[in-house]
Amino acid sequence: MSTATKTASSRGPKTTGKSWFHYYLRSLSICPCWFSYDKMQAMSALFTLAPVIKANARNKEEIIEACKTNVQFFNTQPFMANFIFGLCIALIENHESQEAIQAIKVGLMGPFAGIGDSLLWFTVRPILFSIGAGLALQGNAFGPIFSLASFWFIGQYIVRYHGMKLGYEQGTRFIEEFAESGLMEEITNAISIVGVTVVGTLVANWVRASSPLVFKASAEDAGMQLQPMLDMLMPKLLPALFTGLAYWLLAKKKVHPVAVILIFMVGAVVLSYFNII
Amino acid sequence: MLIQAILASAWSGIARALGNQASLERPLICSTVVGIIYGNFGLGLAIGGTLELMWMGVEGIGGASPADVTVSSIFATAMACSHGYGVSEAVALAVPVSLLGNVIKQMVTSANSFFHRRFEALAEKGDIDALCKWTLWSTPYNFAVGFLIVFLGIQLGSDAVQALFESVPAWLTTGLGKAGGILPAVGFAMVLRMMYKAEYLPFLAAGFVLGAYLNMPILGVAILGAAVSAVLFSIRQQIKRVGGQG
Repeated sequence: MSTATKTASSRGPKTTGKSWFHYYLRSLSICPCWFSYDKMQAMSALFTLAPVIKANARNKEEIIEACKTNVQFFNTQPFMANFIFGLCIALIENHESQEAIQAIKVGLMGPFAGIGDSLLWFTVRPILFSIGAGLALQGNAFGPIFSLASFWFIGQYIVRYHGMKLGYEQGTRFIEEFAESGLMEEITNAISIVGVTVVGTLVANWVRASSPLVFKASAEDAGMQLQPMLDMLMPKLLPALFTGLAYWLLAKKKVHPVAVILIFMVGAVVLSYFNII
Repeated sequence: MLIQAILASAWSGIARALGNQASLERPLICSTVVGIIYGNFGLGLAIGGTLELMWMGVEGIGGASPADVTVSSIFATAMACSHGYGVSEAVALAVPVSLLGNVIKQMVTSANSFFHRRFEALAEKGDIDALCKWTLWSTPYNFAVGFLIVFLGIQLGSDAVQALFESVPAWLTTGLGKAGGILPAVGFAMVLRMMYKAEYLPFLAAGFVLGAYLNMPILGVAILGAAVSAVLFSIRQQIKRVGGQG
């Protein structure tokens, strides 16, 4: 890559004169864009790429062709989408055919959704938001601010803003290798380890369950309290057991999450009525 | 009261218009904001923290979400603040509302297909400017949908909620309070379902020990976990490189 194109790409795509920030803002259309079951995020692909399509079309037919392919089904993780959009911008500027661009879009959206969902939605966000929720439960106003600021920095700035530039600069082969290489899996693995460790602590810190149960041999008997015995066995034993039960219901028995919540609510009310918890 | 209801509904509209990409739709953020709107910041924080932990693994992906955590946390917090309920009543209220909200969400998503027929016609003509203008219109449209769901919920449901909680016996309130303490277990289990593998068991156990036996705060555990994970990552990369040479 020559120095001239490199400086152009750090400001924005070379054919439109608009900045990367402008394209980042356009890509925000990915969530509200008339999301439906049959087209999902289709319109945001068209909306994000529209200035590039218009600047590079040599005749009306090319615009019609681009419109027709870009209203087709598209769905991926909203942040990872920007790698694909950046790549599409480069392909349009190289006057690749719409079939070729569509094939790459469709081919990448699945793997990128897989990476993005497991890494960002199910690992990074729960970690950051559980830290914030923990702070909030201690009455600390920085809880929600911490969660939002840290997740925006990672999701919006690092993945989205720079992801788009990376997709544009590095081109097809790099992005495909990136999607297929084991590196993303390794990173997901590493972040999952942090996530699982944090969840272990969360169970101990934030699941509150104890038993007021007292065993009595007779009315005069002072009785034996259950909870101190459980504590001697292992602190936070009941929270660990309840989490294990919830995991078993969700993962092994495939019970709907809201059904599990309802089971736990009814169960807690019943157990509390009989003074067991 | 009306002005607070309008502001809380407006937050629902903003959260919906920006979607999950902005993370403004999480219970932690929604309940805190609604708490501020109703002048009860502390209660909003407490409800938000509890609902966030309970719904930690609930994410709307590909239009298939198990619960509408946004509408329900805004509605439940608004009810708690205006009627003077505590965290446990808000949690008890949020669960059924999350199911109802999800039904509405699915209906709106299905209805949106109608618009795409029109977009296909515009695409045939190559009217790219009209398509872009239509895409922009989805933002106020989503704002209106999010606004209306919460606004109508508060206007129509407020009295019913109050009547419901007036007749709740003490044992049920106590039980729901206990449930509020246990329910984060479901949220943690949901997150584990997404990332847990048998090989991670030592880390789960280590995290539990750090919290249960050593009372280490969560940020400390996260940093420690990141340090261990980074070391393991570089060792694995090293092994890969050596393996490649051999």
